Amino acid sequence: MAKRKHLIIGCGAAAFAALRKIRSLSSEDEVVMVTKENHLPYSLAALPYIISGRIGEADLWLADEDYLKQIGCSLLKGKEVTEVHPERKQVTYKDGEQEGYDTLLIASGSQPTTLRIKGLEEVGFATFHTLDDCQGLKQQLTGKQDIVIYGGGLVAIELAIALLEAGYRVKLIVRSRILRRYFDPDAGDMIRDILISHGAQIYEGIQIEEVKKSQRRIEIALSDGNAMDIDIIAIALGVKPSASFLEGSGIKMRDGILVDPRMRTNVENIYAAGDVAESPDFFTGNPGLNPILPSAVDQGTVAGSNMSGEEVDYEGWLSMNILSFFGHRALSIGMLDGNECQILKVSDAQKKQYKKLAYKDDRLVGATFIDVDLFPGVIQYLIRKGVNVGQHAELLFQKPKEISTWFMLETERKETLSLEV
Amino acid sequence: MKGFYDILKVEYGKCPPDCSACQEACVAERTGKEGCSGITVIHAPEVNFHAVVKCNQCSEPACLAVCPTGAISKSEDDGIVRINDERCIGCGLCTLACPYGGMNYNLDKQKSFKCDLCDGSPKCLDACKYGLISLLKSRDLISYLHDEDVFSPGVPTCAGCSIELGMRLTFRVLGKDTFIFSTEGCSIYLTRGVSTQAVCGLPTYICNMTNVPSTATGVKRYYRHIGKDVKTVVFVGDGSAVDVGFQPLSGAAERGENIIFICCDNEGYQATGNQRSGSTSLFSRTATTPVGGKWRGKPQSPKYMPLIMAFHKIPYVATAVIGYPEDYARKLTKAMAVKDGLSYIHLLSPCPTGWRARTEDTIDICRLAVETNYFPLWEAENGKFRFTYQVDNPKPLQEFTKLMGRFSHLKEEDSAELQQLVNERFNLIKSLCEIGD
Repeated sequence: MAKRKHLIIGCGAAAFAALRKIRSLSSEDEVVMVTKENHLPYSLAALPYIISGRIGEADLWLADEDYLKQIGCSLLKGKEVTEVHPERKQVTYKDGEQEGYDTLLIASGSQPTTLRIKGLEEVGFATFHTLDDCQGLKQQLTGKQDIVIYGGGLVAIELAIALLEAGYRVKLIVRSRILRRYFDPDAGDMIRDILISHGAQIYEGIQIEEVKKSQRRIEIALSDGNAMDIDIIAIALGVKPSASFLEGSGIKMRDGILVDPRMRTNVENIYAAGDVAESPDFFTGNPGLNPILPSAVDQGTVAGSNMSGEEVDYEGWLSMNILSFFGHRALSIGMLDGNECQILKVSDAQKKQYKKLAYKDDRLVGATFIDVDLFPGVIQYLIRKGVNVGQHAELLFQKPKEISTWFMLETERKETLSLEV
Repeated sequence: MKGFYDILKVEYGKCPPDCSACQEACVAERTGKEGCSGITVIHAPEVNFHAVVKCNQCSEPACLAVCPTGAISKSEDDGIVRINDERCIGCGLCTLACPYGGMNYNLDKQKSFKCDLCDGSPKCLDACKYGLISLLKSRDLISYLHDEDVFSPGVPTCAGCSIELGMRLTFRVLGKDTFIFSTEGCSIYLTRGVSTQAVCGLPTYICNMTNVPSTATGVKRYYRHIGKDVKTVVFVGDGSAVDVGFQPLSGAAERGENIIFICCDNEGYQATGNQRSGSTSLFSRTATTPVGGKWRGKPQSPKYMPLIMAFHKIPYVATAVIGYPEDYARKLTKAMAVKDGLSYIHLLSPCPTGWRARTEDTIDICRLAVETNYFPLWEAENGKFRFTYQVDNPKPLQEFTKLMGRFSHLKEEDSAELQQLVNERFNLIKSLCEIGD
């Protein structure tokens, strides 16, 4: 096949996974990666650990200049794509320059969602999404003590944990309840209590009504009538795809870019992956957003394969989350509840132990564990492979580590037809 | 050789109940923390299951791909997947990505933890009193590969073709100073690269189907005449060896020509559209032995060519499949050493297209052919027969036939008849092997 040029917009997890896959399949093709940030490839998921001080910025990069040079990828930093022209296979940068491509991957990621709050713009606030945000927040933190995080999703909680570890006073204000997408109320309460026992103050079911400057601090008014004086307000209310530059390109969008299981958009030779893409859900096959790192990596890898000419279908994303905090581990994967699901559940707030399994037609479709020793990846394996756990469902619930591993090994053995056992 | 690494092998599901010596040894050596080792013992007495899980040192590790700080790497030198502790942030995403239970988590340190083969001398290995753990040195497994692959990429064989694998391996073992004599058939796609630009790096001559051994005889004799020891290798299909080109083969064997003759048996004339041959199995559906009406596949039993050749009293005869590459490579090495006559290797070569099998099942079909005794692996050195691969508990023949559409029409009684044929053939070889004892 003739040498082709792959252009990748973005340089986060999905983009980097695609680059790695393209390079493992085709050594000749040209790869250009373009990012509007001024940084080397890095993963957003690592940023909270810079705040907590577990790693320095030098340990953040997924690849350095030497590595990129070695695998033959040109990285264009500080270049923002403003238009895509599929008809002439070109993109336009903000500075007016044009760049051609044979295949294009849009992995431009996401941006924080915003909310109109009275006084917020005037007072100023921190977001926590990119490395620039992270550096900005780190600067603001100097000499400060009281931080309010508005939001209860993954980013909000990870940031709260990092700030607590670094010794700040953290108040979480959550409109509904924390980690609603991943944990049911019982599990969420348990995680909340652990966070509280490590110093967090958490206010659930409350909104911020107004933000005001008060001398050198910030005063916020809450929907329950209370007010608090704090130093910094950080907004972490979730993310939305950042794809505004695609307007007029003819690429089909809903909330994100719609892609098929090969990560193809409706336009030939244009692919999308990661936070920006609406890709098939594992259970239903319906497109949806799932802006988490494991999905971005999988989707980037699938896109990279197909861009290189090796046809691979994406299995679909599973909602999942693993939270490692203060010596505790919380895992959520697949469906939480749902119609026609059988649920096995034990929630022991005293022992701080929580287990929940969801089955459908004898197959595991979801699991939640807090402080249970097991292999999370093996649970994911059972769900993805649709392993029939049938009569052993109760046993799997009682001894999840042993029985899940047994199921995994037996499934693997059966797939290798001729193993001599 | 790059890409061939040592790997920890654990006998599957054979651990005694309550033993966790390997895990304890790992904890003592590596972490000092109970429940945090690179090898994990799984005891599930409820289902009578006792085994261990550990890192497979995957070639494309899922843990590596997902790590947000690039703390996980796979060494190109020894293939070991390692975690850089300094960079590990303890997010645990790798434990969520690894499907095989190879990634552990140290709650105290808040870091992931995995097996690194103790950098080459695993402590769990000595700790296992039952000898269930071993370090497989894959470099040793491929020590028989001498030379570069002589065939270029991009050969036009069908997807899943076992002949491509077979030929590439054959000539990597036989090495340089080799002439290939080939003829019409699927192997020609590699030797001549029909309709593509594929090339073969060895001198190749394409003969008529009926005169391959005779042609090879002439070339071999010429080189012997001028004092050069070259390997003349005939690589043809069963159509030529078993049917139309049998007479010159039989003649060359009887005359004692020093030729290596490899019959690549895909049980039919597959290159021309799956017509039956003398080697096609009983009941096999082919283009000329269809299924339907009074037809139920090939009505005749196949010739069992390896024994026919063995009774030519030639120095070396063997059967082989690509599913057991070390076995095949050993046989090629023995065939190469023969200087006083013809050596014959019968290489069963599953054809996904003609046999109507899934392309990804080729190797499984190879292995099941052996494990069901459909195609036993044996050799006869100077008349002494011996099995080269012992099958302790042969699987039912259906395990093999169910993978192929060519047998999908088999009724219960057909299967029984085929099974009986297989048993008879196996017993005959077995009795020949027992004579040697």
